[in-house]
Amino acid sequence: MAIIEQGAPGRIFYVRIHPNEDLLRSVEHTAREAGLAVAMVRSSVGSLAHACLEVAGGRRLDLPGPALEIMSLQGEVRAAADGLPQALLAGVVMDLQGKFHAGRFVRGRNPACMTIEVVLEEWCVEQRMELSDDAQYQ
Amino acid sequence: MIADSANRNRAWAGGPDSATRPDPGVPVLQHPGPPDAVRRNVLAGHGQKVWRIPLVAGQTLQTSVLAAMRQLKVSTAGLGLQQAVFSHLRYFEIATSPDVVPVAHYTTPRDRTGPLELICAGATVGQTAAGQPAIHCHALTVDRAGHFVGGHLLPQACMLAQTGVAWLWALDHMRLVIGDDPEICTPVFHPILSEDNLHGDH
Repeated sequence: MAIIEQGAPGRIFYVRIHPNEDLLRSVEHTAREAGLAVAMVRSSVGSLAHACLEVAGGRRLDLPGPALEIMSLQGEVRAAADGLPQALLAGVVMDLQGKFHAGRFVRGRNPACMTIEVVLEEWCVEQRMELSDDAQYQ
Repeated sequence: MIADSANRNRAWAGGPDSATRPDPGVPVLQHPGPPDAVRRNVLAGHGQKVWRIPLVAGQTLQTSVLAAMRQLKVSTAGLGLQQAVFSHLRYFEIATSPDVVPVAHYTTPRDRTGPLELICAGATVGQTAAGQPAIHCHALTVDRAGHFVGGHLLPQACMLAQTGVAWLWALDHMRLVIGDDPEICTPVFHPILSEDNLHGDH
């Protein structure tokens, strides 16, 4: 089902994730604690002890640490079918050889190295509507 | 749940919790110091403003961002660089060495002459322990040949070649102050709820 949403920004959250804590799980747990239905990553900076990125076709890239820099992180957190917050986050990391890798961060496989800072902005949905069956694609 | 339906800024800390740990078998690190009991800090703010600011040609990234923040009277922020071309970039890459205590450290600064076009970046703005502004910024750029260049920027030495754009999410319900983290033996930003919010239940 294709849904159009209209909403407005709400609360803003600064989250510091300490070493060895998982990136996605920490964001999702924060959303659960705060009662956040939908939020968007607005800014993030930090490092990972190990990175696992999903690329096209579902293949996973496991990138060894002990340190990889997060160069960018974007995406949103919203309730999955079970009602629990689910973070869908993609980005770019730099490894110890100075090479860059991109993909979608895999839950449970991206522990923080030194620190990860994430700024989340709440998205307060005011109305939802289904995209019309006769939507005009031109 | 720590629901805060009242329009109130608040902070909380997460302790050790299996809900935020990585999967079994994923490599984690043994840092040089004792693990902090706090594993996650959360600072929630209400009514914070968002600003679109210029990154001014001929200025450094640092002077340009801080000039706008001074005018806006914003001292702590999340920063999203959206559009920038650098004439010079100074940055660190990350490295490891058995000769240093932390599990990772930065290389000596790398210098690259532009033009270097921004691809993506993330940053936060806070203060040093001495109260001077500080920007924690990682950025990826691309050079004329299409090669990627980037890392942990030194914003005071990254020169803007053209006027660009950044978005600033004010975090003035809190402060970010650089301080040593005994667990990792490395200075990082420590978040602190602003004194204005320290009355009543937070």
